[in-house]
Amino acid sequence: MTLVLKDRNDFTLENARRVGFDGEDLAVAPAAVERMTAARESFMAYLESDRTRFIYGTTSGAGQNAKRRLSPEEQRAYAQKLRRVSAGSGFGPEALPERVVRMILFARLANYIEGHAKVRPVEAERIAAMLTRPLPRVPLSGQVGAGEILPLFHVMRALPDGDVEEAEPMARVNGSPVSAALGADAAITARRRFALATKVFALAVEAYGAPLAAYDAALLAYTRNPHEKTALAALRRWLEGAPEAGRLSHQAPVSWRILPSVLAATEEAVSDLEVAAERSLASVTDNPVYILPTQEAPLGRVISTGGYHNAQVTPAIDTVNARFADLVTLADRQTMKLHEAEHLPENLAKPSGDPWGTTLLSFIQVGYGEEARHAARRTFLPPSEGGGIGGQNDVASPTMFAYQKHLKAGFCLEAALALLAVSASQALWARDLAPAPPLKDFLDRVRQAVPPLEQRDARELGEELQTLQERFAAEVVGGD
Amino acid sequence: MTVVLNDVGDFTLDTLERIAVKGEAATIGETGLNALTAANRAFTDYVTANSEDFIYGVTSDYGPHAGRKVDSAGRATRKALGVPFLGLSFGDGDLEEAQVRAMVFAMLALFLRHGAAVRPEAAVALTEILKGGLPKIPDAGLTSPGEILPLFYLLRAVPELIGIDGLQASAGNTAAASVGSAGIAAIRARRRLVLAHKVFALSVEAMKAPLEHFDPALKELWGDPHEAAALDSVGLWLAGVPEAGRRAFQAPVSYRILPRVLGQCGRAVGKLRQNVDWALGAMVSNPMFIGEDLGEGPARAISTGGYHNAPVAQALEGVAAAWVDLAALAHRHAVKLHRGAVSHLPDRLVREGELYWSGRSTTYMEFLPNDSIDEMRRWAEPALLSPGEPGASLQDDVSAPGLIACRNEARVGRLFDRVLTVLAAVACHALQVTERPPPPRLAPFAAAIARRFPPIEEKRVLGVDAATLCAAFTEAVVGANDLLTDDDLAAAPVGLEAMP
Repeated sequence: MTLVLKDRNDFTLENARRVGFDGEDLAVAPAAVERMTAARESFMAYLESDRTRFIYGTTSGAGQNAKRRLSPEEQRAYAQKLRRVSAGSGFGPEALPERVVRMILFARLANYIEGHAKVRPVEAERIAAMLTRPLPRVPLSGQVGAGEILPLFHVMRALPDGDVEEAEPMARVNGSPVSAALGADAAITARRRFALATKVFALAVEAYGAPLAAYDAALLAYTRNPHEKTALAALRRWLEGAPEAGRLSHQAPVSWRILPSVLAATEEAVSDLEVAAERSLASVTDNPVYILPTQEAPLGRVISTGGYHNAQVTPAIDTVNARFADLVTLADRQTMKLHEAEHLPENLAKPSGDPWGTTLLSFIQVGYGEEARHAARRTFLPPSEGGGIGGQNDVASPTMFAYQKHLKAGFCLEAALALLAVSASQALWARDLAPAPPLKDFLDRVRQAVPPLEQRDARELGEELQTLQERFAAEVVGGD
Repeated sequence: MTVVLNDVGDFTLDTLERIAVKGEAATIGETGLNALTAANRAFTDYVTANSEDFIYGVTSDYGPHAGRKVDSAGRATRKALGVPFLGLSFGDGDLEEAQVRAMVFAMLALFLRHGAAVRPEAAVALTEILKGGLPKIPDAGLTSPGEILPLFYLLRAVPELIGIDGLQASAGNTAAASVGSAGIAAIRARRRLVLAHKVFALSVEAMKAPLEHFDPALKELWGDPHEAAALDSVGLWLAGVPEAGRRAFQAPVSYRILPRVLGQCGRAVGKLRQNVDWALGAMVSNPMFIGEDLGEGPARAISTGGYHNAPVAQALEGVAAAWVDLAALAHRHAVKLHRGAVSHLPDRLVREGELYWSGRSTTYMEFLPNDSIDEMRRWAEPALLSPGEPGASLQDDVSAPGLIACRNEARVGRLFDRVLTVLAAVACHALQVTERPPPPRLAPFAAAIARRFPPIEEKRVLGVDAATLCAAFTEAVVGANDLLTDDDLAAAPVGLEAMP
């Protein structure tokens, strides 16, 4: 399939998913080509009307050389000198997933599609064509600088070669499409991880025999917080048909009762990230940006902006990371409580089996919790003025760093959920109980990866647990 | 004035401000009293008819002994013992009176939605304490599962909460302390944000930054309501400044990204206000009585985790983090205004022909934010759920982070005032040195700053004046003064919960 882009309304999270996760290609609609052509013509008329006017990177140098003006004769030559985008220089052992690079290219075109990039349509078509070719490797490290030129150097270096005119080189590497794509990837996967977490915690409710009162339908009507309604409704869907009888006669520990509140905060964080990503995908963030002609400015105008600094995606990712860490903590607590509950078999072992049962799972949670909390540290604007030579580029955009931590936070959550799911599975097995009907298939899949444990020595538990975590990860990326 | 409270619709941030910040009294109206009576009667009937059912703290014991049954004789024995603890916490001082009043307000919000099914006399007694006799609650050692540690102080100060004959579901086992304090934080955060907008606008003018960085056309291009509000606000404060004579090329990144970073701060403040509003409208206790009037099936009492409000804590984290980023920009501005090669202003903001050790400049003040920002970054880390088992009870296995988040945000906010103070002093000095007026709309603000931090005509102890100005900034945020007027708050559309 090929997604045809007409205007900025096409820059949605769903379309980002199609391009990034489903591998669809991109094409530029004829109407958009016409619009870009018209914008380029009016921009060139604007430029020709006064080639001494300051237009960042067109009539001036870039970065710390912004104060240097280019003579009219120098201007096209300056652009042509930048025909090929500089090679990326950041380096490191890990790289962006390919789906994210695809979404960067998708997001890149938001500046172009309605003419704000002030370039010829061929530039947009070159970018779209990149999706049909091998994509460049973009290291995760060494990409935090002012704007997003550092990662965009890596991406746009692979742009198909062709002639270049005034203003076009800057449009390739300015703006904030990387933040938009990182936000989109984090949002899409975070929504799926949230769904996974809800399912696993519901299984833990069943395994503990926690009273269902804490998830009472009346709370849905009572709460004013829409995120709490969503989270509680999701939890309740998995518990539909769960028997009321045979449960703990008094309230479960706090870690079970506060699930609706912690899941509500997580849902809100994910929802906010989705909003931030969607707005970012559709925004025009170029510097300088071309404001299309109006009655007052018939040739349009060009203004210098800070659009290349996306201030909303980083905190939105940070917040999701923090809540993932909290879910890991709850998973840790519940794993331990399952193993020491007075009303459950000791160590979740059957009388015929290994008396240690699955207690080791509770030990293992500790490390993932520590890692998750480390990944949840805030991503503030970097104090370093590195790159701010001459005083211009004095604040770096840290979205890539937040995303790096998000990958770790996501892994830790999957790992902690795997451990809790296996503990819950064991608790149900030890008492020969079945979970609520909606959870049965899920429990079967958990047991396919990690069957209930009777004798530990006969098992490669670490490998089995990793298999389960990898299946969770595949579910997150594949949307199964 | 006395605020009359009848139902949950009366529990807004505005009424919280009147009662908690402005010190107005509160009373429960006749409608409210009747509803309280009806809910308590329904609960009493329910317990009488279902005395063998588990109702936490009513037919059962508390905390680690929740599994033990308690009958009416047991309840009488427990009541005779009074408050289980008279106060366990200690810290550097006490919670502010406004925070305690806000806690009372949030508890009244719980009571007037009837889930706690309290006796009307208990609710009335709680309103009475707003007229005098508020307990002193230490400002630390308050974090546990739920918010029982601060609640002990309130129970002791208002004995009617547990001492009146008759049954009730909960005497206030809810997140009242954190939601109340978060309400105070939300009110202050918006005031602080508007103040920050004014200071940054002064800095923009001091730098002679091109106005195109704040062009209204960016609103549609960026497509974000909070960034649009920030652009509107900066534009409002800069109205009437000269277009000619500004920098011939773009200002440093720290100026150009200002609308986006301010927009993010506005989003965070709006989220906090929104979350407090949601929380006040639906305070949940443990246990909670679901009356038949709720239309959700037969009457029942349920055990909940309503004492743990994670969304409010999360919203506080967002605000604290936003202050840190704004502080980073403010520091950059203060540095850049002193670097003549970048600002194109007199280097070090020293008058022509003078040396900087004449003391007639703000130079070296740009060092001051360094330690504040370092501290801010530490306090603005998220208030994550603690991995430690909080106490001896295996039941009570996760602490509520709300009060930690409140304390952290408050500290970060106060430190931000210090950074803002430096930028305000530097920006005003830059205008004075270059003999330029502030933007017309900011003239009264610049004059109010000058009353605390006078123009530097000769060497003096600038730190003393900066401390005075900082105290005034904080006063403008937590109280009121001429640095931040009601008109300012009404004019600036930033940090609001409902953005288009």
